Amino acid sequence: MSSAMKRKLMAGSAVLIVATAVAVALVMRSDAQGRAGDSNLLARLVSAEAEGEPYQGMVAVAAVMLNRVKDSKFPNTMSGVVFQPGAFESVSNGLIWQRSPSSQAVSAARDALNGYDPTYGCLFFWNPSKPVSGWIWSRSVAVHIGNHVFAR
Amino acid sequence: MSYMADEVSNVGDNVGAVGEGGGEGTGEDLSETGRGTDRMGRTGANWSAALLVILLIASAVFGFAQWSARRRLEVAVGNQYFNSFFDLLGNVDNVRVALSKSLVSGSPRLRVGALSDVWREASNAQANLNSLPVTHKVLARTSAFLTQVGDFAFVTARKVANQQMMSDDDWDRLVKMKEQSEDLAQGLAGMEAEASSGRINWVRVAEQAKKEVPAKPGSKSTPEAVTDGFTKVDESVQHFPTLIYDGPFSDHIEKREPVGVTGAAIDATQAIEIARKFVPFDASAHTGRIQGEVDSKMPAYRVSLDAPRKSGKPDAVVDVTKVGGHVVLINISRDIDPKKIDLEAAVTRASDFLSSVGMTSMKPTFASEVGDVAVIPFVFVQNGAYVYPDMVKVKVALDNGDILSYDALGFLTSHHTRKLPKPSIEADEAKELLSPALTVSAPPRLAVIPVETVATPEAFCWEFRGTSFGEDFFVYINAVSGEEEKVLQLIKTSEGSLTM
Repeated sequence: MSSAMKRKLMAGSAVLIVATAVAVALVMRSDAQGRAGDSNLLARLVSAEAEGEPYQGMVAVAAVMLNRVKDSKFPNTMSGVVFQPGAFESVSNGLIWQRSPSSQAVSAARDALNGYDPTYGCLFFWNPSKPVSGWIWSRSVAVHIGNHVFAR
Repeated sequence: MSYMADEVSNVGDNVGAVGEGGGEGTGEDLSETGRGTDRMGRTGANWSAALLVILLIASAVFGFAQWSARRRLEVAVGNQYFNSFFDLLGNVDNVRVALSKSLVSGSPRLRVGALSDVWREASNAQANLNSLPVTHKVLARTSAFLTQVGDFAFVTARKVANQQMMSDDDWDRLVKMKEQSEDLAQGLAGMEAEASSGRINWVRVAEQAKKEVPAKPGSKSTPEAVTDGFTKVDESVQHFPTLIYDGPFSDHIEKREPVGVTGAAIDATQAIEIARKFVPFDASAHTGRIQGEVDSKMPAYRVSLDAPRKSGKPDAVVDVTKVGGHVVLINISRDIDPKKIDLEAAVTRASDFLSSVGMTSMKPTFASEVGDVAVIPFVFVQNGAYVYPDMVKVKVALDNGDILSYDALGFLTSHHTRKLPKPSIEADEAKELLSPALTVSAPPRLAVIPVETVATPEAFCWEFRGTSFGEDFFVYINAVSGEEEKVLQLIKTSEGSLTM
């Protein structure tokens, strides 16, 4: 190892404690994304919001959830996104707890957690045949899947 | 005693009176009978009246119990919201103070401390803000601002801990963020009076939010005043310029244009033919149609391939880019039978599929089993270096090894021929920099990994795989600067996984 490298190492050890703290925080932070609890919660939401939709439509709903977690305008955790007040009708009326997720919903949630995103980064979805606020249409619509419209 | 006597004499008087008035015996008899039914009717009326009164009291009691139960619940829910709101006030105030401190601190030790506070407080503030029952559109910008303040503080703390100098831009941003957080704190303080007096009925605020009624400026009724308050706060955030910095929530991540999508524009018919040829089964008899179009950074045709009836073949949905006709996603849906093949066999099937569609130089890195399927990410390998951003994921059914899905979004977003430098430190030198707690378990290899910096979104590194306290890790040491870029922990699923 060169002497320049060694000097760098010496200097580095001076702030080692601080760096370790930050490094620990960094590891914790990357760990906070997408674990077992998330997958169950996601499957429940998909089941409640997208039952009867084509498989790709289910993956799309799950992908919207994950895109929201990654977006700065929405909560940064899965449960934060799911339980954001007024965000999902099925959460507001308790439907999400009334049936256990179908095997399709579970597999859709897993696909989305593996990064499969048929919406290409959408943050919103709605069913145009049901009453929705006019504001929602001001979002840029990316794709239609089944009965849902997906938008950014 | 005298009272009873009075009663008796009164009754006697009455009888006498009737008798006198009736005159005839029959009349007297009739009137007697009449009086009999009258008495009975009165008792019946008394009974039903009593029943009614009881019912009335019961329902009043029941109603009151319901009302007070509902009231208790409303108060409990409201208190949760008050808790979030007051926490939010505290968090924003702390963000403001910690930002000021980070500017004043002269030593890296204190500055990192202050910036870590900013990060923690801003992230709590964001969580509290988003748990308030106010329409998302009213909170969106404030939420984004808080996320980005925390994110920026985190990235800057890392920089300072790393003995890097804060750039002039970093200083300017910190100052601006401090000013903006002051505005935010002030806006929230304006709503504090209303909240402290307990006049906010959060349940009504939630109902209002559900109706999506736009707030009238300066309105006096509480739900409107709350929405109005947040709207004002959010509008003050509107002036904040788009923040570009190194961090996971930075705007620059959303703005990246795909570089792997090259070639001439294609039309819908061509897209259907490309899809038909690409899918991992013979789709010559399938009906191809354009199911829709995808409007994104990578505009695409969504092609649906429907199997002829009773052919026993699955349907497929294939996304083909309008430019160059690249296949982005394939999804094949069918029911999966119990597992029959193992992960190695699945990896071979996936590799064969990739070679058959001309995706060469792709190497599998990892395979994991979820349910009855295997998910296998493949990365592009250039001169022996694993280029992780250029990733393709293949999903294989473990019942018979069929390909179920293909995802080249990452690959198409970032794939280009990179100019890879010669490593200026050798693998042995890089190994010296690893934590003593890590036991290296595989020969090191070169890798290009995504990092969150604006100028260079990728880093050229030595990849070390090792174990520490029984857990598996990947550690990346920059092959040019010798800096430790990333530590990744391999989380094993309860089902099988395979590292390659």
